[in-house]
Amino acid sequence: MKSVEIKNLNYSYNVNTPVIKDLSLTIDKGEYVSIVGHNGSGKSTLCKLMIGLLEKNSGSIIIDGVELNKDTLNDIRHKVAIVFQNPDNQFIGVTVEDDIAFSLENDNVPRNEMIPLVREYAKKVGMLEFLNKEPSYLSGGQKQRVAIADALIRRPDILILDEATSMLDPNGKAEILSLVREMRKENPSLTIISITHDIEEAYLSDRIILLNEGEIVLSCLPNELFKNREIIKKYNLSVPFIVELKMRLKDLGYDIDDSSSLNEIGEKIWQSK
Amino acid sequence: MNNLTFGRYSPFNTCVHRLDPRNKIFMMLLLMVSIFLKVDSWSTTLILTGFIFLFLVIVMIISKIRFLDLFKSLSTMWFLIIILMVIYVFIPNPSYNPNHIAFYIGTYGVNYDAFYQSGYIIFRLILMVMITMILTSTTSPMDLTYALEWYMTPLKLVKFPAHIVAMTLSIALRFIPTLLDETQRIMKAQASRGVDFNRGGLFKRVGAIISLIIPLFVSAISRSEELSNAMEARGYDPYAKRSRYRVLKFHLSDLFAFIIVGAIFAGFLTLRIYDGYIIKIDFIYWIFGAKPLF
Repeated sequence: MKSVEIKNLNYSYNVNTPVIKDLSLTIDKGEYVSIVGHNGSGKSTLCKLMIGLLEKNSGSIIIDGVELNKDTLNDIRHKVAIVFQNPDNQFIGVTVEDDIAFSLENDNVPRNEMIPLVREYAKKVGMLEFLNKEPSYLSGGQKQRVAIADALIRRPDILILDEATSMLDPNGKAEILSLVREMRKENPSLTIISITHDIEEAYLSDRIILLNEGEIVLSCLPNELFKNREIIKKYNLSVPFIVELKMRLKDLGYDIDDSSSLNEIGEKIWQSK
Repeated sequence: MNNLTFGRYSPFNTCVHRLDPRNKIFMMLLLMVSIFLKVDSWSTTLILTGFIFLFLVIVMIISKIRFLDLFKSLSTMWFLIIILMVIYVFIPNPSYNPNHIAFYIGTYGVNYDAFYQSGYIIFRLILMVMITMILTSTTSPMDLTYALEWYMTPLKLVKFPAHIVAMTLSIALRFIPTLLDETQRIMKAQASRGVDFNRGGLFKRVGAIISLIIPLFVSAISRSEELSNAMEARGYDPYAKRSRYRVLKFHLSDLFAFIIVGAIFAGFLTLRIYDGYIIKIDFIYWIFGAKPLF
């Protein structure tokens, strides 16, 4: 089943510089897609168009069979949740619990239903013991976990991570990535669209979409992208360590296939010759 | 940033902290009005407000506010105190008793009354600082905002958007620490580029401050844009009906606190209304056996 269907989407901030050019894209339910590309390639604009923070110029965005327009905006925002880049600028409540409750308040959920829900989702992201803490006492990773709880508490079908790990330290980043993995295990029908600069992170996804100047250059499996050296060179992408290692070893004449893990590679190296 | 300690919320769990913020705001107003009621002579009033001082000291002890914080916040008021003194001493006031001249500066006689009066004003200022400090350090900013919103509810009848104002206030409060961190970061960044915030003449310092303020504004505005995006994405509609996660409750302890403060206020009000009928004793005369000064 299709989760996101974008047809011939166009968008420009001003007339002369189109940001999204005639972009078409489909994402299946439960798929984990990474969108990579340079600054200004239109990645974040695409997200904002998908949750209706920006209004498209032409084309259509269909989410779970519902076309995004002014009348369906509210429904769409219940289907799509987003986690932004800066952990501070999306922390609305004064404490963790206020922040998690914010979207419930917006949905006019009665207070006695809110309290168990807030606790449940705080527990899911491992922030239960921080419920009454203020954001200044939290690390970036913790704030981002709260932001994920905020997003999940609306029970969305699609979760967009708009460079959600780019401002975190390596620990925070690992925390968020493992949380995303857990979420997928728990709810396999959740579609995840991750916008990222981090190539290691993109490597974990089912599919990578390479965006350049508002157009899709390539949409393929992570392994296929990194095998395509021309594209990598042309768009100046970095390559995940493990992929780079495999390629170099292959060049040296080792017999290594794409699916092998680091341990298997090790085995092969010491067993050869 | 250490001198910003005044009135900062200290999250203890004392009985003062647990009081309903609406009640606390109302009690604060009652005490402030009591302080400004003049009863009989200045000296009588001074001693009567002394009772409020004692009461506030007790409340401060109960709510675990450190007196050091109070002195710190008062120490920033030295300038104000000196200015007040100068104004009261050097501006002639016809209500001063012309027989109470302390000394002459040239031909201008400095009146004792001026010292008493300015002392009394300063005492009242200190009391005001104490009251607001008790309120803000025992009540979380969020609770204060909710209480203010509650007080603004009647204004909804005249289409005043009380809930929007409250949301704006709470976001402003939420971002104070974030923006302070940002300020420090920018200060360090500018200092590393050779800007000196602590030395130099007036113009140099103003220039240094501008180099701080402009980046701060730019970042605050871009933050606000991202914040509004995040709020909108989470379905915030200022005009829609919203439920509440936090609710305010009026407990029995609120009633007790209100009775105490209400009694103080009522006492002051009665003395004020029947000024000159109830209290005819001049405390100074009474205590020191001296003829009252004023």
